[in-house]
Amino acid sequence: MRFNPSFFWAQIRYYLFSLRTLLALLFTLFMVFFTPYVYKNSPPELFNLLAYWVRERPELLFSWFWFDNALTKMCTILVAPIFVFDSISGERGSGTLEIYLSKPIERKSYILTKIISASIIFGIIYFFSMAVAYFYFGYQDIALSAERFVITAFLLWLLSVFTMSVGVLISLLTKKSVTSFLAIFGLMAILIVPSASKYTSDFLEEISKLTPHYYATYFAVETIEPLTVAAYILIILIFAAIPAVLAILKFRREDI
Amino acid sequence: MNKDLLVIDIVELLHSKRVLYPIIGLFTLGLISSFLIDEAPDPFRNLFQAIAGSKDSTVVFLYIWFDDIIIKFFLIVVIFFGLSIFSADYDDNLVETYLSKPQSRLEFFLRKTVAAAIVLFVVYLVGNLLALVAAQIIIGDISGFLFLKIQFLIFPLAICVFLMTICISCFTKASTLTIIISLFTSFFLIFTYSYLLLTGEDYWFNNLIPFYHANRIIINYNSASIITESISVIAIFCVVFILIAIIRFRRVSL
Repeated sequence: MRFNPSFFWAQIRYYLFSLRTLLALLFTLFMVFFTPYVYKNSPPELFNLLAYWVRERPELLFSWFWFDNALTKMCTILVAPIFVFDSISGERGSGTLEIYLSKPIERKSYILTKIISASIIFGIIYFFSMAVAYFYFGYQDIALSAERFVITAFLLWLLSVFTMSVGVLISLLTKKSVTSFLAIFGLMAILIVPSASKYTSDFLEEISKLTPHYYATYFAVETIEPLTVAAYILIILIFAAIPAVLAILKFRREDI
Repeated sequence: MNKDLLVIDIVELLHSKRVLYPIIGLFTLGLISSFLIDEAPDPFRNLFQAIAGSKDSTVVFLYIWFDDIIIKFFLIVVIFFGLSIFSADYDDNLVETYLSKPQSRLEFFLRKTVAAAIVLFVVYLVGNLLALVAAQIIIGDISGFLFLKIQFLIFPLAICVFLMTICISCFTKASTLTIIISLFTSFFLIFTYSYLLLTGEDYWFNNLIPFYHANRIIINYNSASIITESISVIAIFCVVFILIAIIRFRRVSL
């Protein structure tokens, strides 16, 4: 594969100075800071009711509230998809896709550059927000050791790479950006359900293992073992690679 | 306003996919939510009842319906209806063609807005009726009159989001940016009010959020004064959005 650095940097620059990145940053900061704020200020009665969601284990509540809900939603539904939902359909609609492909950019490289550049920009926003949040909130919660926090944050970012990959595939399959946005949003909203409610029953937990979300938030509450971490990173990467490969195969045959 | 053109616009919209899919979606989600409420284990049901503030099945269903379906799924439907007024035509380079005909911008804008709002109401009504049928079949103990009354009372919220999207689209023009900004604004407001409600304290900021007022209508559906107050606030937002949109649309360069 011939990698085209100028196209890559053009994509990075495009994302860096786009309005969507600014909005993504604001919304990420909002989600990262607002959720712990609400958690800290909510009455105990609420947590008694919510304890059911974490199988009567109150010590898991914050991790569930923050990682399984707020951050997973952010990385899969609310923020990550906006970087890629029009990556192909939008370019096709505005006629810039043909111009890009008339340059020495391989189609495979084009797809991968789209996924990687969007993941990098989202990663910068996300890790910046998380780092600030950790120093602001992290030490106040016993369940959130630095190790647990860093590993889960990294796995959630990998989950966003999966979202980008799915987003590019859907954007390739649809003609209009509006349709691709709806499709990504709908698919991700369905995929999050088993993981967000996995603590309520064994059945939902088993179902959630079919989604990368389960592996991304696993270490927020479970024991951290290096081999398991490596295995789960690999699993999420495989999940991310499948739509990317499908997108490449489809795009190589596409009549532009 | 040319009534014939308005009817043509309505008929055209009624025949489009954007009407059928949301109705199917609302019916399907009605089935799923009814099934979940009916089959939910006791701790789950207690949580629903505590959040809804009532043990009445209708109120619990109403609250879940509003919190999970109307302000999430239907919100997106509303935003996509809002896009159809200006952004979708702008993307397809059709606005210039439409405005080259002997009609003022104001007339064009109002006709398109009214047509889309009417069709949106049809989608909302049919979708809610089908969801009600699903709930009646699965849960059984649902007051149809109360459900439809409250759905009707919170419809101004849908119009508010619809007009907000139109207002944003008049500034951004392209649909991509309109979707992003409309969704971020809506989700920011939804998360803010719903999370702040969890804290159990009364924040002044919530009074400026239309979603919060719709939520108040559901919780206080017996209080005429609260309903009037909440609908008035939403109506003020609607007026502000439509005025800004009209002023902007009349001046925007195509």
